Amino acid sequence: MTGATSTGIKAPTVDVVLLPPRGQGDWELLSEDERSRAGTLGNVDVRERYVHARAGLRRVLAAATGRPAENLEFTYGPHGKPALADGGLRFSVAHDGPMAVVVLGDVEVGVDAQRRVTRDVSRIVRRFSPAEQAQIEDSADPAEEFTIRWVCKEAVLKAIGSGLSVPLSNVEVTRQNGRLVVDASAIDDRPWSVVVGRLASGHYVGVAIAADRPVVRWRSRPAA
Amino acid sequence: MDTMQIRKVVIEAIADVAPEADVDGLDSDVDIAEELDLDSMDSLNVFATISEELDVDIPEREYGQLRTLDQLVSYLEQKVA
Repeated sequence: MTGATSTGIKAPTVDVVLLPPRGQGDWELLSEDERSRAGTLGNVDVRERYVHARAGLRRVLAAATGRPAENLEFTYGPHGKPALADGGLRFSVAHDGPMAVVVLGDVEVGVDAQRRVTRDVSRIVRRFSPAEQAQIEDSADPAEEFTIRWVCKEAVLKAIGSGLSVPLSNVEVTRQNGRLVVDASAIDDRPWSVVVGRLASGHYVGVAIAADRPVVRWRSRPAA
Repeated sequence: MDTMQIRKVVIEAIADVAPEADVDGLDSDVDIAEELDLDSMDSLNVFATISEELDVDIPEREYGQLRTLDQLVSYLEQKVA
């Protein structure tokens, strides 16, 4: 997956796919492991969303790889990051309530989705870097700025595979000339880019890509 | 600080992020985030609140092992002892 740039150099391209609402046949696509996992989830809403996201992920990966959705096999990193057992395509999945999104590409990717925060996040902001705290505080809309930084940090941490097992300050997201810039050098030496999209549902979707200036394509359906 | 006091701090921290949930009725051995449908921001807020209330440092690398009430309370008992 690459896109031509004005220089002729192929830039890494990632696809952002919003999953459709839960459909027929979701359960049948899941592996035995996934069905067992669903069975351990006591909260019905959480269980239904898990089934929806896993089936949707399988459909997106099937469309991208040309393989049957139900035959895809996954491995999991130490903090639960899924990968295709035979490598190749990289992906990440996020959901917030009934909304779910998958990002896929040839380089490492991560995604997080969150509505604009209305809860008290003061304790979390204190875990951001001084530069991030200052930029959020000085912005015209601190709640939105916080939400944007959060989905970017989470997306990078999911891409790296650590999740929240490392301090949030290890991934710094600042604005430089209006552009979001990531510094994750404390835990990862790859160049990271982040892109944030705001959906009609009110969700902010943060996408992290292990590449400089990638091409990000927003799609509502699985890429053929 | 005894076990009951620690448990109270934990319950209150969870109730802060899930005000409509029956936190008092939460089983001690269920995954709190999964049971109450907490997202990662809620979970981090719970850890941050407990850290501040009990004045203990909970390293991020420990979060994954602290998913139930029993796990949290017994971990915190060691930390505040």
